[in-house]
Amino acid sequence: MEQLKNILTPSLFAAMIRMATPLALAAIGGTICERSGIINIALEGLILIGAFSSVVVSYFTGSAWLGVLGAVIISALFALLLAYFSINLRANQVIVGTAINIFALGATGFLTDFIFKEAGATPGVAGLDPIKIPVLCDIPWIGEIFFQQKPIIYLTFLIIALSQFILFKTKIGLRIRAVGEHPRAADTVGINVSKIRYLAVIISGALGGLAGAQLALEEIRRFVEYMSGGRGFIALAANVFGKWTPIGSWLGSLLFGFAQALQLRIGVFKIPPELTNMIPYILTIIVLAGAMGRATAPTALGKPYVKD
Amino acid sequence: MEKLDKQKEILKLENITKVFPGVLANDRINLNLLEGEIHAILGENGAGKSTLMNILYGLYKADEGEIYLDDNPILIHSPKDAINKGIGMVHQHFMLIPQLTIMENIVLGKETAKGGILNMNAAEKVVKQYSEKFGLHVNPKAKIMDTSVGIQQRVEILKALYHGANILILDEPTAVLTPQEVVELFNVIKSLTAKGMSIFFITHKLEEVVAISDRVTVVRNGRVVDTKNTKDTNKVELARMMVGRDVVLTVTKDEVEKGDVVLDITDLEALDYRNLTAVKGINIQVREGEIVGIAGVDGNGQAELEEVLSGLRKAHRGNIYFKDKDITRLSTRDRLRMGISHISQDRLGRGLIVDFNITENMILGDHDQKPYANGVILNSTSILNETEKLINEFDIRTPTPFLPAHSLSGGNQQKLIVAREFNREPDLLIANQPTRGLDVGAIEFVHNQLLKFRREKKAVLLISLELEEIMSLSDRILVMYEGEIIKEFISNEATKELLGYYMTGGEKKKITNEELEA
Amino acid sequence: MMKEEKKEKRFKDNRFGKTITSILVPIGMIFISFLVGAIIMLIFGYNPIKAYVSLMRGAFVGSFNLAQTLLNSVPLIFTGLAVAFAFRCGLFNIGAEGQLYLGSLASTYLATTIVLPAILHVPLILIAGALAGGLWAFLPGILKAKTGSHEVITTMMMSWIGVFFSSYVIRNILRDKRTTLPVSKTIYKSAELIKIDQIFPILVLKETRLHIGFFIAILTAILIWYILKKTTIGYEVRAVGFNPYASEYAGISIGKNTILALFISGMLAGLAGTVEVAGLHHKLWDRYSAMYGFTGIAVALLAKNNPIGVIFAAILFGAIQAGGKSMQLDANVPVDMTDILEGIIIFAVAAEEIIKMFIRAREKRRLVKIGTT
Repeated sequence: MEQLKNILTPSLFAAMIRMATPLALAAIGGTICERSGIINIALEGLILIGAFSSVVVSYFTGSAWLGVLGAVIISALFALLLAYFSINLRANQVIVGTAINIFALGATGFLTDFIFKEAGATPGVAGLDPIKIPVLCDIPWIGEIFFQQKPIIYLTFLIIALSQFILFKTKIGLRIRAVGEHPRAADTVGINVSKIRYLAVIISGALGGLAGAQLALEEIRRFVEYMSGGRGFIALAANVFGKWTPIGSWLGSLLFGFAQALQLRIGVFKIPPELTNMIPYILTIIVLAGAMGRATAPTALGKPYVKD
Repeated sequence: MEKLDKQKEILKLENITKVFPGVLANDRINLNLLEGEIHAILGENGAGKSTLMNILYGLYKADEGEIYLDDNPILIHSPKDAINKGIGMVHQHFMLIPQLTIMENIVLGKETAKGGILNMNAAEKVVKQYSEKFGLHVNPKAKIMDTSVGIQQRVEILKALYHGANILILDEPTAVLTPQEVVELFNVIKSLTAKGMSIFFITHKLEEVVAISDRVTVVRNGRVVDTKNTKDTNKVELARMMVGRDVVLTVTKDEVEKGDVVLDITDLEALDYRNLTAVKGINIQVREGEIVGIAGVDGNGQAELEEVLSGLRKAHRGNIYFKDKDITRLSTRDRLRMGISHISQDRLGRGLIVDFNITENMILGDHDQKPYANGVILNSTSILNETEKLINEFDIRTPTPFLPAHSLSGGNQQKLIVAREFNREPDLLIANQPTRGLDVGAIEFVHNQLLKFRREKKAVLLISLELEEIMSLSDRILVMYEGEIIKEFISNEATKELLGYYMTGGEKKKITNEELEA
Repeated sequence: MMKEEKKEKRFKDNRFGKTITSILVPIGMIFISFLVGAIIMLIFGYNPIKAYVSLMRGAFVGSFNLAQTLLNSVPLIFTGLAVAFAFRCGLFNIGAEGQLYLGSLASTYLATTIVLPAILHVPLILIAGALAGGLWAFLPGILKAKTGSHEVITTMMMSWIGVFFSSYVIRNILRDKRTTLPVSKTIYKSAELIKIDQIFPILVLKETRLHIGFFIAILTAILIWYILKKTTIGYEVRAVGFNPYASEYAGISIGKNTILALFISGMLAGLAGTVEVAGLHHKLWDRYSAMYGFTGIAVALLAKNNPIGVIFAAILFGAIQAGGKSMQLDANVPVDMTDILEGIIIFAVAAEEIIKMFIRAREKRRLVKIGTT
C-alpha cells in the first residue's frame, strides 16, 4: 500500500489532466462533428497541422498566443476540405479523413525541412508557461492538480462546459443534433442541413488545431514529426466512450490521460505500461458492444444527405 | 357551427408537371383549394398525389406549372418557403426525430429562444397552448421514441400549426391509426377547419372521402380525372374514376383441373416496421394448377405479406404450410430450396444486385447449387450457357451477358428477374407486380409463362395493382384491404368496378356523423 | 435477336473494353496526382522533373533499388488485399496494423520456440500468423453482426490493443535476453523465407534481400482474386457488399458473410506481419511497422479493391517510398514529399468516385428524356 501512496500523488493527477487536455479538445471536436452526422477520421491530421502551424507562427512572430490563433485558423481551413468532400461531393468520409491524415503527415514533415532546414523537428519556440491561480493554487492536493496548469488547459475546462451547454441548451445545438439524427426531418422544417454540418466540421477543425497548439506550445515548445502520436484516434475512442457528449468525451479523455500518466510512473508496481495503455481501448470496445449500456451513434452518422 | 365563406379560393395549382426518371408523375395537374374546406385527393399509389403535395411543400420542384396563393403567384423552392407561406405538411412517414422530445420536435426550426439559448419552459407552455386550442393532447416532455404512432401524428399536426400553417396537407394520415384514433383525428380536422384552416387530405380510402371531405379530386396516372363536391357523388362512381383504365386483355385462360393444396396460410398476422399490425389474420389457399390473385391498393399489407412468405419477416401469429409442411419458421434459403420462388415488387432493392452483371444476377439464390457450382467453385461455363439461354428465351435486350444490371432498362431488369425465378421451376411462385415496367409484348410473354406454369399444375400467388392482370390470369381473386381479405371472387364474377369498390374499402361502414360529434 | 456470330464478337469486345477502362482510370488518377505534386514542388522552388527522375531511379534502377521497391511492396500487397477484401463486403477494416502485429507475434513465437524441418516450419508459421490476424478481426466481425457496432471504430480499437499487446509480448516473453533492445530472438533458419537468389539466380536481383515472400504475396493476390471471382464464397461476399437486401432475399446470410469477410481480411493482414518477420527482418522488432496498415488503405483504394490491381498499387507505393531517399539526396526534396503524394493520390481516388456518380446520374437523366411518354 505504501507503493500505492507513492504513485497516487497530486502530480500524477496533474499529469493526467495535462495529458488529457489535447485528447479532450480533439474529442469534443469529434463529438460536435459526429453529432451533426459527419465522421471525422481526420482529427489526427488536424492535430498535427495545428501543432505545426502554431510552431511556425510562434517562430516568426515571437508570440505564442498568435501561434495558437494560427493553429486554430489553419486547422479549421483544412477541416473545410473534409466538409466540402463529405457534404458537397458526398465522398466517403472515412476515406477523405484518411487522405487528410496522410497528407498532413507528409506536409508537416516536408515543411519542417523546407522552412527550418532541419529534418524531424523544429527549433524551440516561445511557448506558454504555467499560470498559478492565486490562493486556489495553495489548496493541498486540489491546488496542485487544478490550479497550477497552463493557459490552454484552463481554456479547455471552459470549452468543455461551453460545448456541453451549447450542444444541449441552445438553438444551434438542437439543430446540430437534429441534423445528425434525421437530416430530412430538419430539412422539412426549413433548416439548412449543409450549413449546420459545415459549421460543425469547422468547429472540430478549430478544436483539433487548438489541441495541436497545446501539445506543441505548452508541452514541448517545438514541433516534432508525427507528434500527434495517434491522439486523434484516441480522441475518437474517447468520444465513443463518452457517448457523444462533451463531458463524456472529457471523462473518456481523462481515462486515457490517466493511463498515459500512470504508464510513466508505474515501473514500481510491476504492471507493464503496455497493459495500462490497453485498458482505455478495451473499455471503449465494451462500451460499444453495449455491455455498459448502449452507446448509440447519431443515426445519420456517415451517411451523406441527399436532397431529391 | 358557423359556415365560413366557402367560395374564396386561397390556393391554385395550375398545370403542374413533374417528370422522374422513366415516369411522368404529374401531368398538367389543375387543382384549387377553397378557404375552410377539406379537399380530399383520391388515387392509387403511384397515381401522383404524394408527388403533387411534395411539390406544394417545396420538397420537389415542378418542371412546369404555377402556384397561386390568394391569386398571387408564388415560388416554393424549399420547405422553408412553404412554411413561410403558411403551408404545413404531415407526411406519411413522419418527419420526427425519435431521440428528441415532443416539444423539441415541435419548435425545431422556430425555437423558443433568447439570444440563442433555448427556453424550454416557454416551449412547453406554447405546446400546451396549441394543444388546448386545437384539442391535440400530448406530453411535451416525452421523447418521440417512447410515444405511440397516434400521438406522433398529433405532434406532426401541432408542429405544422406552430410553424404558422393555415393550409395543411395530410398525406394518408389514417394509414397508421386505429379506428378509434381515426375518429379522433376526424374530429380534430373538423375543428381545425372551423377555426379557418384549409386542408388537403390525401387518401385512397373511399369511406374517408365520403365521411370527411367537402370536395374530392380523383387523380389517376398523374392526371386529374375530375373534381367534385363530395355530396354530389358516391363511392361507386369514385371507385370507377380511380381505377378506370383501357382494357388490354390479350390472354385467355383454359380450364385446368386443380390439384392438392400447395400453399396454406392460416390466421397469418404480421407487423410492419412500426410494429403495427399490417397483416390481420389472413387465410389463403393455393392449389396445384391455380393462380390466386390478390388485388388491392398498395400499402394494405401486401408488402408485409410478401416478406413473411419469403421468410424475411417473422410471422407474428399464424402458420404457413407448403405441401403440408409447416414452413413458418424456415429461413429464406430453405424455402428457396424447397421449391418456392419469389418475384419481389422491389425490383432494384430486393430483386437485383445492380452492380452485378446479368450472369451473376441470373444465378442469385442458386449460386451454390449444381450446375452453377461444384461445391465452392463456380462453373462459369454452365452459368454462361444458362444465362444465354434465358436471355434468348425471355428476350432480354442486352449487347452482352456481362452487362452490369444497372445498365439495363427497367423492363429488361424485370425480365431478368422473371427469367431467373421461372427457371428455378418452383412448385410455388409468389409474384408481386411481375409485369411492372414491361412493354405490352413483354407483359404478354410473362402472362403466357404464368399460364404455362398453371397448366403444368404449379401454384401461383399473384399480387398485383393492375386489375386487368389480376382478372385475366387469376382463377380466384382476393381483395386485400387494411391487412385483411375482405372479399373473394371467382374470376368471372369480378368486374373492374366491383374490384375497385372493394379495394378502396367497399362495404366498410361509413363513419357516421354521430361518431364524429361524440 | 442478333446472329450468333455477331453476338460473340460483341461479348468479347465489351469485356476487353471494360478491363482497359478500369486500368486507364487509375493510371489517369496517378498522373493527375503526380501533376499536382509537381505543382507543389514548383511552388516551393524545387525541380519536379529532377525530383521525379531521381524518384524513379531510386525505385527501379539498380538491383538494390529494385529489390527495395519490391520488398516495400510485400507487406503492402497483403494489407492492401486485407482492406480490399473487407471493402468488397462493404466493410472498413482499418485495423490491419494490429492484425499485422498479431500475425507477427504468433509466427515469431512458433519460429523461435519449435524446431521443424523447413518444409513444415514455414507453412506452420504462415498458417499461425494468418489465423492470429484473422482472430483479431473476428471480434469486430462478431460485434458488427450481432450488435451493429461500426467496424471502423472496433477494428481501430483492436488495432491499438494489438499494438500494445504485441509490444508487451515482445518485451517480456519473446525478447532476446542478451540485449535490452525491444526485439525478439532471431528466428530459426528453418522458419525463414529464403531469398530469391537462392532458388533461381535472376541477374538483376542477385545478392539482394528480396525473398520468396514476394512470390507468396503475388500468389495470395491471385488466390484472393480467384476466391472473389470464381467461388461461391466470393460471390456471397460481393453480393452482401453491393446489396444486403437483395442478398437476404436470395437466402444469403449477411451476418455470416460479415464475419467471414473480416476474418479473411484479418488473415491477410496477419500474413503481412508473418512474411515481414520471416522474410526480411528474421526477428520481431517492437513497432517495426511503418504504417503498413494505413498505407494498405491507400493501396486498396487505388486498386479499386481489385486483388490484381493491389499488386500494382502496392508496387507503386513501394516505389514511391523506396525512391524517396534518392529524391532527397539528388533533388533535395524532403522525403516527406512521398507522404504528400500518397495523400494526393487518395484525394484523387475519393474525388473520382464522385465523378463516376455524376456520369451515372447524367446517363439516367438522358434516359429519362428519351423514355418518357
